[in-house]
Amino acid sequence: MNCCDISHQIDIPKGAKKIVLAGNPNVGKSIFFNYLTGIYVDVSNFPGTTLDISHGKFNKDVIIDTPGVYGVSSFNDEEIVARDTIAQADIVINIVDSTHLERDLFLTQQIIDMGIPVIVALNMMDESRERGLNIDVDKLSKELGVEIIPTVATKQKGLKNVKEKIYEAKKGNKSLKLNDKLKEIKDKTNNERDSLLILEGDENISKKHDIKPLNYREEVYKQRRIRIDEIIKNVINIKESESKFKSKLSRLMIKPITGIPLLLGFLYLIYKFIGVFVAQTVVGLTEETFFAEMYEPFIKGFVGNYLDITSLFGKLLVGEFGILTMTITYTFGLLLPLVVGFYLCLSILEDSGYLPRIATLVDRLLNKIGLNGRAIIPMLLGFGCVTMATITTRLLGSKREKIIAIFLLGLAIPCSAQIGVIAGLIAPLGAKYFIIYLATLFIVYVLAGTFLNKVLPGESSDLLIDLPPLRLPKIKNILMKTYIKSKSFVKEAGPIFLIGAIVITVMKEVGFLNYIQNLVAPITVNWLGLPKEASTAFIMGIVRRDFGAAGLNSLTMTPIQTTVSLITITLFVPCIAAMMIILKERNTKESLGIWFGSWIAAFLTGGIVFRLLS
Amino acid sequence: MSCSKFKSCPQCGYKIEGFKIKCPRCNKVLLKKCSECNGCKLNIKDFKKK
Repeated sequence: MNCCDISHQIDIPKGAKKIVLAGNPNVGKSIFFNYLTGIYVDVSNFPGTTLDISHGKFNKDVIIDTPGVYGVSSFNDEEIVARDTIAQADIVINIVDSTHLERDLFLTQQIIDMGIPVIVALNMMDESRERGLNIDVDKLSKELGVEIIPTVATKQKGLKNVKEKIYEAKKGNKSLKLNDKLKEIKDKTNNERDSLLILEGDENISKKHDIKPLNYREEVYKQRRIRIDEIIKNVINIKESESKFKSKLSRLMIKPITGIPLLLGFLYLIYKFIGVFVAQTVVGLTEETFFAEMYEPFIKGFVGNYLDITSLFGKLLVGEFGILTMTITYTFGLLLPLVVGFYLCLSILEDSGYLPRIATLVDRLLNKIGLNGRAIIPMLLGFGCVTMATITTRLLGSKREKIIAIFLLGLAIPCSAQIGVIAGLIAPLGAKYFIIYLATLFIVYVLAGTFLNKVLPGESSDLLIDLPPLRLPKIKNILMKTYIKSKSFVKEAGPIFLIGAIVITVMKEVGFLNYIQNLVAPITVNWLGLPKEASTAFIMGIVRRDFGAAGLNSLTMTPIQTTVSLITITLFVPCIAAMMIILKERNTKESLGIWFGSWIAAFLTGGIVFRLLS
Repeated sequence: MSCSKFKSCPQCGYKIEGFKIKCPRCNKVLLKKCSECNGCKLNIKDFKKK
């Protein structure tokens, strides 16, 4: 049965043990995975960082990382993935947040009830101590019947211990009192783990064994909850001593009267850093001084030594849209510094625990467009990369929320590279045009959200989010994340830019570019009031919006034209990579709706703004 | 009793059957006061006693 078998997704060598990392969201599983396998996966201080399974080698065995779940069942896609992985594990390393023991032990006890050998890493021990939670680790180990290892994963404490004790994992003390029922199912399935899930009413597993699911979930869960509450009572001793400064700051971040000025202050700092320092000073050095004045003349001269640079091949290499000229300059001189700057800021936001607090702060505002505060996570990530942010819309509760968030992401959220180019183009025009640009995007965002909220059927879910503790971000993790994400930007965008540059050069050389420019002139020239050549930027924008925005950089335009063109290219269609992900996350009909919807919204808004300004 | 506000736990997605003050799976507090519920005639305190 493919539904419940992970072997078709992961290549597991014969005889290798499947060691599965399991735990609630945001407990630090990915740090353990990075440590044990040496493979980097994203680590952040908010729930839902891992949305797929990653795997790596450990001795002759395989370590598999899973999305954070609260139990082994199938209430959502992440749970199904985690369930199938955990159910087939030879050993489970269960990561438990020691500050939320009563919540996390449900999963631990369920894994034990399934009869899987397990060791428990009791993580965030420093924070539980800070909060005055005194946990009797030996007693907890006796109660559960498994090895418990205290850890502080962010400081690499206790990880070595976990590594050494993996193979000492054992089956623990079960909590179930429904043994007769369980035995009855086990006789039919010959599988202890699946039998428990069938008893708990899991439809997919029941279907796998051709058995009707039983309806004992409530009873089983109740028994397990009672057992955990008993354990908690026996092992935890509370002394009030939570850091006063952190809890005060946390409250200030959530209350609108103090939270909004704090948020605006933080956004202003980001603008100063990316929009002014990186976009003007750093890019001025990299793009203009290094690439345009030094690198491009050198590479043109170098290539000119070997071939005629006015030939088609020469133009493909070092022409106006050349692979070695424009593509390299745009990617490394213009876009890369901006992407690095943005990911530095985003990593600080992610690791400090501020992101879920922003979600709480903006919950009411987002309710008006059919979303809840949780949607701020993909929205803010979208300012980094819309493609990646589209994947994180899985965090949202309902289908309608996912559609609204994906459409708004594709429509009105410019990615980091695009923001940088836009900031560089609009900053010299003055505050007036900058405000017009921002206000237009905000109005389109609210109108599109309100419209979708009205027309899409169903209801949006409420926000109930766990606030992780505020932490001082670790410099090493921030630099690592920035490096990995920036590298992945170059890897993802580079080939697409290359293909785009070849297509545009060939189109120009065969006269097709001029033909298209004339064909769409009624829209670009008459409706948007832009120069005919601006259509080239839109063609480039279909490939990637930042590529298109960068194309506008080379045109000579009035302030009004610049503003209109930037508004239009921001609202323009999502890039190819984002479209591929949207197609994966949603169906073809919805994806095409988003794509064509963006065309209409972009050109309609651009034309209206042009008329209003002139 | 099926008048609780949530059909599923907003934190972990557990399908709520009947009246729940806390989610049995992830222990999330679902209702703090009666006004958060959609109209159960009984009082939360009564459930807590039970």
